[in-house]
Amino acid sequence: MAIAPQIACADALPDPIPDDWTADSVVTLGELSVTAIKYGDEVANKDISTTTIGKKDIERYRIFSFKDASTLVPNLYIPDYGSRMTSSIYMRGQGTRIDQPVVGMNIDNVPLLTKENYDLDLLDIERIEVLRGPQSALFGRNTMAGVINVTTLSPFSYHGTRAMLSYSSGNTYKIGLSTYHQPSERIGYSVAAQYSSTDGFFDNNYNGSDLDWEHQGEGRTKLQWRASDDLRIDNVLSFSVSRQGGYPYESAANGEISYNDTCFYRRANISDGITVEYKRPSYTVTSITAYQYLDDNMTLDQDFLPASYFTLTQKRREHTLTHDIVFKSPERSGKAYSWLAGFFGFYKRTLMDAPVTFKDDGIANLIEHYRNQANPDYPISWETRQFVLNSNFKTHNFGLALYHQSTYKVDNFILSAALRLDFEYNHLGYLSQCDTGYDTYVAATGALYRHDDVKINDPGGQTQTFMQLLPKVSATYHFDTPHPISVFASVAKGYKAGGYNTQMFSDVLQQRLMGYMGFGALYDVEDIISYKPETNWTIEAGVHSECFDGRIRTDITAFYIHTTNQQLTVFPDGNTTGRIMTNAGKSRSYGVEVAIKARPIDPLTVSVSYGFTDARFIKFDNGKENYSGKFIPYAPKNTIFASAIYTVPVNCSWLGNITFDAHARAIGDIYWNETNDEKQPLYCLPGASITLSGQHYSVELWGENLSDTDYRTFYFVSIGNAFFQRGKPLTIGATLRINI
Amino acid sequence: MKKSVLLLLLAAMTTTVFTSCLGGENEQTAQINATMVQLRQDISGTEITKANYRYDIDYTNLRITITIYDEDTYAAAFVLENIPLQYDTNLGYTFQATSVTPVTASGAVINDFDISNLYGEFSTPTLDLRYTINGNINVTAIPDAATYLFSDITTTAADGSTYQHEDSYVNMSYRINSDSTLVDMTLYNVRFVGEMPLIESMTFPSIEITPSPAGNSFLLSADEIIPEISNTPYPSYKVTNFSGSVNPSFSAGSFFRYENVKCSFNCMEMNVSIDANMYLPNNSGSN
Repeated sequence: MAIAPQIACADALPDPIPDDWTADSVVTLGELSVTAIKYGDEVANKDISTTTIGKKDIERYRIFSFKDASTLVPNLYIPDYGSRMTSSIYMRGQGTRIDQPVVGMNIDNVPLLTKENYDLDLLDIERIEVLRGPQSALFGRNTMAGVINVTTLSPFSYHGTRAMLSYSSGNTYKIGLSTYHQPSERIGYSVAAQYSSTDGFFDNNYNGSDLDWEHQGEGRTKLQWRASDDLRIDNVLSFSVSRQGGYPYESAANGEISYNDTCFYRRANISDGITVEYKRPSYTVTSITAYQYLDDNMTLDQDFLPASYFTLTQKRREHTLTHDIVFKSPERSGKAYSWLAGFFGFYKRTLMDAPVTFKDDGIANLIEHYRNQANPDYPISWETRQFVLNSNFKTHNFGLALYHQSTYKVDNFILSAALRLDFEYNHLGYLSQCDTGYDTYVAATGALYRHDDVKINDPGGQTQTFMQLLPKVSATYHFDTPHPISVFASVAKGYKAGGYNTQMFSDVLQQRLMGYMGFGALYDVEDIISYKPETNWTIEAGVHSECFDGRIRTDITAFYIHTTNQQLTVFPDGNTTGRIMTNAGKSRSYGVEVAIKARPIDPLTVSVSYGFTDARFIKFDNGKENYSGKFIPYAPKNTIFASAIYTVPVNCSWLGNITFDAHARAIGDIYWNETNDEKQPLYCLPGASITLSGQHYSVELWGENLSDTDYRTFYFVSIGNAFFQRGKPLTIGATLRINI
Repeated sequence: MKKSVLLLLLAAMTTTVFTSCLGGENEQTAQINATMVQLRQDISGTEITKANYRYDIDYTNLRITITIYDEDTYAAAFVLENIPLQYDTNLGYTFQATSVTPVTASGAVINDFDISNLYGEFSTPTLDLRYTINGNINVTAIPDAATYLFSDITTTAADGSTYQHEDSYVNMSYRINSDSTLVDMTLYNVRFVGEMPLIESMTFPSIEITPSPAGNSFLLSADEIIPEISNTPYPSYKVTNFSGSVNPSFSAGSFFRYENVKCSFNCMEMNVSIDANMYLPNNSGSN
């Protein structure tokens, strides 16, 4: 074993500061987390592929939201673009830009059913667990590629007050204050709040204003009561508010970000989750009940041009109630057979207004020009230079599920089988409205030929129900070696819920409007409005191992996924600009994931996470082209994260350690479209930090994208124009943390 | 799906146009009023006329009474009473009779008048009948507004290339009076070439109708038509050399119907032909 270098200091350090290796070891014993509830205390050596990011790494890499964890987990890519509303997650080649996510998320046991809620900044995250692969048997809908469980610091694991102050490029500052107390052996409580502000990195060339500015804050209280040795109750109440600009989309044609209408996203969340665990000699029952409220407003210059085509506003209010009750056999009972059974139910009610405002250039170029080109002898002129296509939606969505898992241990084998019966009801009520009109002239004389009113008032509704059986079987073998080595193999079905194409209504309305002039696609609204669930089967096998006295931990997984009824964006029949989500495709994805954490010498920790995915369409015909064999867009082929952390003990009373960190994230290739003719090649973002740590403080100087690499995080096409979002440039900053 | 919706729409339209009303608490009787376009063929030739018909249907006893009104006065010209009905699950109700004695509106037998070879059917989307008066006047009657759901448009460009569009449908609306024998033909969901915008509806107004030499179909013709889209003329889509036919077709002994409209014309230096059918051609009648 190598001797750690040490800087001499006159003052002795009262208590050793935990080093990176021990601080980031997975310690979940006794926690009331949803992972522990469903998978037991030690998830790392089970029949699933997991990555756990501990508190030290969370602080070192400044992970405040799940987006910041992208690439630390093999094959997990969460592009940072648009706004906090756009929380697209890609895992193992699966994922979609809009609607239902493929990865579920729980924050302090509260399951977030709406993807737009995912991107929350949280202070004092204690641990992020990413369970890769389908988790539908135990976690249900929208976990076909995995689950992310975020656990914040507990007043039972930390006592005292913490403060955080950070300043970095883009005039970005973040402050946080939290306090954790345990007034008695059985009661702990905490209060945490953080606020951040940034001017962002991108300006709007149209008027010179900041685009990706943001002001956001979050508050959280946690109350934990150990009423007895058998009864534990945790309650977490949180709220967050975010105001941001966002959407710094640059034209692919000229590289300029320039648009004239305001874009912003505003969101307010309230969430309360209560977890109750009651232990009996023969079983343990755990109940997780949560309420969530979302109030948001997304407003976009939808053409992202200096011209006035149209804007979109989407205002939503959503109430969600969830309840999960889990019965399971006692942990560590020593019995060969163990079991788990549960019931899950949710109700979600959403009210949404989504008006599209057509403006002068949109009326002139998308309506009048189109119409008058066909009939120059009798041209039309719209009666106003701005009008609204309005859509209101009301959805009622509830689900019920029963699930069971049996596990049997035979010698070194652990055999497990799980099954979930999942039912979902989804009703959409809508009202589409438009009140405008146009004049037709005789070109030869200029005389008014006729006036037509365009009055649309289309109410409607549709109901869907889904029923899914979601099995999983697995086998794990633990080798009789001095250090833990286990291999596992599993087959599981994943499930992503169906839904509604609410984003399609403005196009339907536009086509209805064109229909007044005789043009436009004849949408069968009933046909295009909904899409069905997507399912997949995943076969995976992996190895968890520790060797050299635990100095090298390795997790290797290989997987193959076959997806059917794939939810894909396609073009409806006819010459429209619309897109709909439909169950048009099949795809397959295979790859490997390697995570190695090594401590070759005491002060040095080296980590590598590598994910490779080859994800292609087997069948995808969007009505205009056949993309079978093409790579699935937006999902990266490779994700790489590598880091080296070197800690030098100083042993002063005022300085304990100096920690040097160098790391790099690499992502790519990412294909941007189904034709695979636009792509982001593999790019690398180096970062580094130096941290001075004392007993009650740490100061970190850090930098990200030190090479100032130019890369793209998003690509899309609007009204025939292609746009990119550039990734964040070189960023440097300093973070002060105080623990009292 | 689209076809189903169209059929439902058409059923609703038919209900409105024909003023259908079901009577009685058990809804076992109904009355349909319809304006019909007639091919009236006698020894001197064939003329196109218009007449109003009323169908009183007794579903309980499977009987139908047909009242044929005078075109101008709307007074009943004669009544065909209690004709047996048959029901077919695919085509709806049909009726036929080799000989019927007509009566007046008050029920008096018309002795110098007989009806033979009566055959008719009413179902969505058809309501057609034919009969022979006094053994020498053949009448074929079809509604004065009809929709042909299964329509193919084939376009041949000047260079010989062809384009086919299959999702359109056609409505024929007849304007028959003492001054004119015309029909307005409206094409829905129409596109002649791939680059052309999908047009929700395009009307060819005032197409002249004449009887065919055999007296069993309507011939359509126009030298030049300015189509209308949303009641606005589109000179840029001017149509020339329009010709075609409406072919009521009864297959005796069978309930299969192939009534169709065929036409061709020139538009924007292309030749366009349309084949529009009430039912899928070569289909057993199931809709």
